[in-house]
Amino acid sequence: MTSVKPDAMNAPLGDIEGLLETIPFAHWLGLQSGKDADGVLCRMPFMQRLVGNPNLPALHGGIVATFLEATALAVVVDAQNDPDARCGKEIPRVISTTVDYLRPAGPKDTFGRAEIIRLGTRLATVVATAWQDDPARPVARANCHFLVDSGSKS
Amino acid sequence: MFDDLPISWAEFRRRSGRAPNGHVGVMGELGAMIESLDPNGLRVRIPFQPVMVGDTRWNVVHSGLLMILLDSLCGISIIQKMTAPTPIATLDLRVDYLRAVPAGEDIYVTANCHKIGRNVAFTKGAIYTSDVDDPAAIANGSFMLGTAGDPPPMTAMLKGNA
Repeated sequence: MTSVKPDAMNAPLGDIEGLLETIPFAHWLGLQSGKDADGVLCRMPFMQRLVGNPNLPALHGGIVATFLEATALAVVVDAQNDPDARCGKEIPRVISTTVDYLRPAGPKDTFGRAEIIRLGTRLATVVATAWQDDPARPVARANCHFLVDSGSKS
Repeated sequence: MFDDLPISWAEFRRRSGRAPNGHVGVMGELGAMIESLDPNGLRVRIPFQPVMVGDTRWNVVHSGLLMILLDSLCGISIIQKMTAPTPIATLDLRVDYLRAVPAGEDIYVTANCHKIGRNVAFTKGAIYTSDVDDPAAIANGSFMLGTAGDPPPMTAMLKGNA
């Protein structure tokens, strides 16, 4: 995992910019996707509606899971955008996601990066990591499988 | 106090004194309705809203919404086996997406706690729409017990001593 300062998110964004904003539910959650020198970087600015337990307060675990899965999706789409990439080119459809919760996620901005473990003709396997203050202290990690070619000709 | 099910999650939080400054949490914001809370049948219904769409070409609900619902319900299911109110936090959650949820359909979530130990509880959850035998997603969640914070707000309700 490359070390990134959170303010890197204010740098100009690349190809993947706006991808998550076009997805209604990702937009409702305020998810943002972009690229910097180290690749795809996603951000989830804090909003009150992302809180699971208002008494702590802490981000909802399912929200963190959604952010990780969306980050993994953005990384796969970015790889598919490479015209030379020999992989399935359909919009990725998530098959399963497994999340490990490592630390409490507080009421603050969350950042995410993902690493493609394998991108093949049918499947993509991706590991995504989310952090808040320090990339070396992740709040959660996820392992996601996506179908990138369903085999249908439609 | 809580015998008038179904009740909205938001209203439940307000009545339980768990809505500081009117904040009802993401389940409240999503319009979740608690339909059943007896120890053998924990069920929540989510009326569809257009913001829940994950893909406008296929017009299906976003997978993340299903994870949010499963995380919440799996956690609350632990109350079924709690002997005393205990704060919990998700340790891990695995969600398998079996089929897409078409936009427009009400979504139902159920969950059960299979084991509660001293430190960890193990749960399973499922999402379905019109047919309980045709789940759209299934989940396994494990939760740490005795973490920071307060017990789930439904604790008192399930024990029948609210």
